[in-house]
Amino acid sequence: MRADIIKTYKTLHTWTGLIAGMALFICFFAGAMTMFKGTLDRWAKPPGAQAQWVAGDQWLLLMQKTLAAHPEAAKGFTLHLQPSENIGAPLVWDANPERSRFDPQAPWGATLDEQGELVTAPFSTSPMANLVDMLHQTAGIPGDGHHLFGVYVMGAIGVVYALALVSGLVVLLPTLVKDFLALRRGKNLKRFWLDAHNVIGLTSLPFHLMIALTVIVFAFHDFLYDALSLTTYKERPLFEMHEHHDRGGKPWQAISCLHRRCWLTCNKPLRILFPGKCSIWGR
Amino acid sequence: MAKPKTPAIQPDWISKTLAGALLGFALAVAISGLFAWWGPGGIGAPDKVQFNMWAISLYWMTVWSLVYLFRTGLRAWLVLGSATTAAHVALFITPQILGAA
Repeated sequence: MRADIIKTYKTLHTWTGLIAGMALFICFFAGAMTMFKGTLDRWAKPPGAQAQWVAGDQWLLLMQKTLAAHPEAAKGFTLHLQPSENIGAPLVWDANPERSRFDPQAPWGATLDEQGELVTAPFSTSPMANLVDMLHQTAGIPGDGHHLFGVYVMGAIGVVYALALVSGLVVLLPTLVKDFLALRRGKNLKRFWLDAHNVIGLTSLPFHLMIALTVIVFAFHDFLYDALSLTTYKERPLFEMHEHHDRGGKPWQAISCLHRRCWLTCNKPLRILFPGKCSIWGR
Repeated sequence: MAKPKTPAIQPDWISKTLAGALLGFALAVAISGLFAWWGPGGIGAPDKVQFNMWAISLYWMTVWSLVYLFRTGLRAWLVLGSATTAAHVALFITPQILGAA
């Protein structure tokens, strides 16, 4: 390949790699930890009295009593069938459903005591797991509007990152066959590090490309939709409008749905989301 | 040593980068729009807008990352500008051709 192409793309690779790498280091590290978000959330909860959990035959009673005493819970609650350190009570609803994604949650929990009486109380959650997730999404850059400001910054970093990936590939192409999987530990230690850089970079390239392109979409999808709407779809709606499901389900429907769905297959159901059309979630 | 037939490419970082960013984006949107009309299922295929939206980033980054291969920034603007204009003209007249305006 021509030397001038290599020289241009080497410069491009150096600078895009340096700029993107610093922000990406934070996001990658936090992203790897976010894989364990649920576990972190359980770990961060200080040990204390665990709320009374309810037996399977009392789920319906708990739901009915909660809805009678706290009608606002009908907007949506989660029934946790199994106890867990980070969950304050079997039935949890958000007492502030109008909050934005960035406001702190205001979770309330409900359970039944030994006499079958309803006990409700607000409980606090640890912000740690969410903080790690926010670091993953924004690299810690503060500010938010319709989207988090840091997400836009990382979208721009995603562009720089994509340039770094392609330019690195271009630079490596002429010596690809010779250099790939070679790890030379000679006198020149720089050669060794470059070889390591190449073998790691090339084997993980598909994943890196996927990350770079999806970050751009995560950050800028609104603009991409607008551009498509403006140039291509015009008055055609981008999204099919589905008729709204009846969200006013009844607690017994959730129970019968759970039994229907879990008759043979799920021996350990974890959550019922209400209202909803029979959504039973594992964790 | 024989002189290289083609002169070396100029870096022209600013003009090429702007061409990749602006013209690359406009071209990517047009490619995606053309695929929306001419690709499998046509404009009305359900949920195809998702593919078209996601693919813009792929087209855009492909154009942008290869824009530095142009010999000069001016050539990048001329070639990409013509391609972008042509793609958008094609996209504009496509509904008439398909009789779906």
